[in-house]
Amino acid sequence: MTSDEALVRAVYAEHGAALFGYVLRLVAGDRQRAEDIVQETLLRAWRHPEALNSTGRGSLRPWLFTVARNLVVDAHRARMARPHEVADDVLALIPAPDEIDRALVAWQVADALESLSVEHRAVVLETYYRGSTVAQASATLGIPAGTVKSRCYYALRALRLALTERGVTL
Amino acid sequence: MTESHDLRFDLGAYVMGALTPDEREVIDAHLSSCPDCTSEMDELTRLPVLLDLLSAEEVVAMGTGAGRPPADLVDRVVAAAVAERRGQRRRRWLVASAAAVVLVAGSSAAAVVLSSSPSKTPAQDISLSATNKTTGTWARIEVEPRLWGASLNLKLTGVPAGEHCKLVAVGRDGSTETAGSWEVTYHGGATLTGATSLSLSSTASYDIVTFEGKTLVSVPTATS
Repeated sequence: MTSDEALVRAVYAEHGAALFGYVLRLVAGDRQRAEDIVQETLLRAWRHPEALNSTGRGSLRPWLFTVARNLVVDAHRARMARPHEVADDVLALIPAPDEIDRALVAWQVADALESLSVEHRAVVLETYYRGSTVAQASATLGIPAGTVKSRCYYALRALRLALTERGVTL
Repeated sequence: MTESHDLRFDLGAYVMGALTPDEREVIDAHLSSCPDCTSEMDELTRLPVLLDLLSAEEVVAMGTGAGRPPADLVDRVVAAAVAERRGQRRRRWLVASAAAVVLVAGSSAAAVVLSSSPSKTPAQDISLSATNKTTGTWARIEVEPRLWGASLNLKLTGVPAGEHCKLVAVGRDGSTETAGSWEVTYHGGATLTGATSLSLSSTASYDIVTFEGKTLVSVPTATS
């Protein structure tokens, strides 16, 4: 393996999934575009080894996220510059600064929720996202009502911990 | 004690909105007399706002790999890096000019222009610093101009412990761009890296701003 390949694979192993999850939100779920943006972002990191070396490992991720975000915005601007492509839906897709911060937090929340056990996620889905009462969730999931309650409790505790670990301020 | 323990479990369902009105009333009454459960409630009650950032469909899709990158993405990046490196080596043997190589990455993506000499930067790195005597915050920012904007290395001291700040690039036209949209809890000082699409020449200052909007220190790009 060349040093180039080793570097790219190391960065990808640590940040690839996170970067993809974040970008996917910025481009409204367009996987093809997300893949292109992630590829270009990682190439830029590879071209600027000082970004990888001069700073701690923890601070590469914000650098990657910022570069990716700029690429998304640049891509929108490039489209805007070609009048024939400008349509209302393209305009609507330009992420506003608030939405960009939102995409970052949303990715962190999704990542945290995905780290919970299947059982914990199931009670969150039933009660919170589907609006079930404890009794309804108990019937749907086939577990006692008391278990629904305790799982709700432990799921939220676990979620809070997972969010804190990801640096989300509560 | 036992009652409080059982009710504590109910706090989860309470926050999720899954309790009946009667059950909610019991919790409300209990909270007014139990500081432990009140502080616990405080920790859980902000979670729904964050859960609202996701849709039920997204949560259903979790664990299926829907939000994960394709397995071969890393191979494509490696291939692109290796190809670019070969191109650099080849060009060294050519007396040819530094004509830019334009690669269009994908049909739907941005027309991404890759320079043939990616290590060349538009200008010299510079170091800026400033102190705000009122807040006592000192910042030094090393600006590394890039073809796409600027990479920023920030060193910061004199920030109130626990403060949440962001680094904002302020353009000469008054526009602003958050050069680090992550959240960091400073313990008095910090070192971090940011990036902005604003070039150094079009930037008036780099500001350290709290999430409440208070400017702790503003680092001008030129001494006035």
